[in-house]
Amino acid sequence: MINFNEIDVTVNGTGILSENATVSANNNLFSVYGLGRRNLAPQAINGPFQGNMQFDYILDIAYEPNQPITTTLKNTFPLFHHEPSRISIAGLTGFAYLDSYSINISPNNPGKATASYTTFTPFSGALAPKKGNFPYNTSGIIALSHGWSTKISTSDEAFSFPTFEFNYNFQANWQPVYVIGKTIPTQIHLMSIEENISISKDFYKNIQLAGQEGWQFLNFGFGPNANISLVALYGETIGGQPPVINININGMKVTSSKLSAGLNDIVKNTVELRRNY
Amino acid sequence: MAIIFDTLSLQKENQRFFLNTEEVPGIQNINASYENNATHIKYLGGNDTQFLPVGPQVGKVSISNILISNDLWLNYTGESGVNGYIMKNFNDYTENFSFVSGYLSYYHSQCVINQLHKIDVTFDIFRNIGQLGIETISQFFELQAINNSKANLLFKFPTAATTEIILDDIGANKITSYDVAININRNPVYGIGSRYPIAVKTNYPIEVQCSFQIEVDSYSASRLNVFPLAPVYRNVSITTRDVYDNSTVLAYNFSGMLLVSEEYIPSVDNTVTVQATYKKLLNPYTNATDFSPPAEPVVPPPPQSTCPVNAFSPFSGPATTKYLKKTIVGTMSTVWHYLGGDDIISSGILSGYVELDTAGNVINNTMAYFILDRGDETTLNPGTYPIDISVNDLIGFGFVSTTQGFHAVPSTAFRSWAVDNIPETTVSSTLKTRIGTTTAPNELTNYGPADITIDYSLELSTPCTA
Repeated sequence: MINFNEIDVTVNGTGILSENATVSANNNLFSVYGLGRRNLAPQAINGPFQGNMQFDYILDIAYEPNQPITTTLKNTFPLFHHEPSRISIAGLTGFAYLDSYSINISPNNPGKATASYTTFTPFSGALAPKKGNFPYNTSGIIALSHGWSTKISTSDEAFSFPTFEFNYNFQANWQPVYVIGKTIPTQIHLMSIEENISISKDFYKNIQLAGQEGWQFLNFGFGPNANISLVALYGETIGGQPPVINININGMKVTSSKLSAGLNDIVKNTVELRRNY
Repeated sequence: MAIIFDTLSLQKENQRFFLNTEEVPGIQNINASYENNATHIKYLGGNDTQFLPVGPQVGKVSISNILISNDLWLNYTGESGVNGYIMKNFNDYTENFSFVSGYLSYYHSQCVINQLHKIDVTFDIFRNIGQLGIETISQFFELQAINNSKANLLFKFPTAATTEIILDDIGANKITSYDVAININRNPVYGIGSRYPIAVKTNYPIEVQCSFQIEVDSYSASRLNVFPLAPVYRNVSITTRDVYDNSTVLAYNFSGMLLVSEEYIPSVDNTVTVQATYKKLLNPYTNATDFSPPAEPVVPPPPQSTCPVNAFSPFSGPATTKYLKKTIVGTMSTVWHYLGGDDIISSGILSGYVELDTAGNVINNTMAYFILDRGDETTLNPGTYPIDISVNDLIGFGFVSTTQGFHAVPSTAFRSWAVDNIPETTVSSTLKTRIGTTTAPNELTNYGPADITIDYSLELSTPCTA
């Protein structure tokens, strides 16, 4: 029996501050029936093995392994043949592909992220406690993200970000290629990428059929290259430089606007932006 | 003789309470508290972790007060926040326990036969609480005003005997106590990028509850089930006066209060009493003492042109506003105070402002020199001190000269004097501009007080209506 504090969750060897993690597997069996028989056993294989490793975690900007993967996928798409990432949860290891990743920033709370990986090959390893004696990674917690320290930044300046909620979502569409005679895919193709951002503000504008540029719609006023920057809560630096996660909205178009009003709260408008690769 | 005690604990005479800049008399006790939002994060694999701020940082201040002079608290049932200072020493700003951005969340006033009026209030604190330095320019001026204030409070003592209660048809029955309670539900709106709320909204309606204890003679009670078809409404008026000159100290006027409960209490030990409770809901268009319908909005007459022919429009402001250039020369002065401590005084803020009416006449100019004793530090870190105001009607200004009035202060004292040529604020119909602050150490090494005088010259554009 293993308690929660005895396991590790790592992505390519980098530990994360995971709050929940799941490992699931599906083998796609199919029940085959025929006339004249009550049952026809055994069940038949109807599709490939598919596994999923998912976890949500508190963002330590200094040790954030998933966001760089999204950057690599965007920068190399569609030319590069992508290698899977090595995900380890409680001793189980899967060589898996990032299919979704999201960041949530809300006022007064630490930044949270969720990542989901899909694997097309069975997991290796066994349920086991972690080996190291360190709590999270060898350096400990370095640079936690927080709603207090999330800014709009340009290359010169940073501005406070008076908005009520911020969500970033990344989704990758992977297609395995199977050939007759093999149970595992010979290739995994990255077919498309979609990025979404939702921002909750206190103003409303009508959206246009053709879609407006997100940075203009949101009145950022700093041009299209302004970033939403997640910086360390306490201003920590690594090698003299503050670690930062920058989310650029250049090229994102407004896709929806949802005004909501509820008791005992202000009226909020949530704007969604989208960018595709 | 042996010394039994070498230090004295703080006594009540060394704890004076100010609401903004106004001292509140009759405070009985204050409970000012905070509990920060430190939460230890948990994660898979975590045997050891650290604390992280999770949730808003909110303090709480509860104050019990005997009603003397007037009721300052009722002013804060609306949308305004307030700062509060518990000061030990007028001349040392650092010896305080204060709060910034307090919003009244609970108000309770009570008067019982043979007792003084009591008021209990609770504030939710949304910015900061504790032993505070100077965080905002308004705080700086408030502390300066407190420093200059004299302990010359006007005392008025209302008592139960000088309180008049009108409760519609209560007739010959005798009211022996009243309670007025107001609950104000605040909604601090937090955004990303700051630990402080963007705004603090009030969730209306505000519920007011009045309770009366009545010694009854021929009391006509109501019934449980008359509500909702035949509810009982009463008009409530409570006026309390000074025992000496009979002037009004506090007055509540509640019209149409709904009777929500009655307790009928006969007893072998006492006369028969009734506890009756009424409620009323306040909306944003009423306040705590006046529940008449909101007045019709006053439509202002169309503006008349006040511009002479040479008025110009230098800015990108409204086309209907033009400006008349004017040069204003003046002098402002203050006294530098040394605030104690054995270390070399480090540095401080030299700040001033000029306030002008719309014709460009100086109606107020103030300068203050505020010294921070930073313990073992010998310099004040250069930095930006928050200014929370901005409107641009000034087109430029510059210093003519500085006249040093320091005692034995080296001439380099002003070497880092920085002039802001950016105007800071307008206040209602007047123009108010900060003229500058020091931004680096001043190397003041001698004790004060000393006079500081600054000559200034403002080149002003007075707005006029085209």
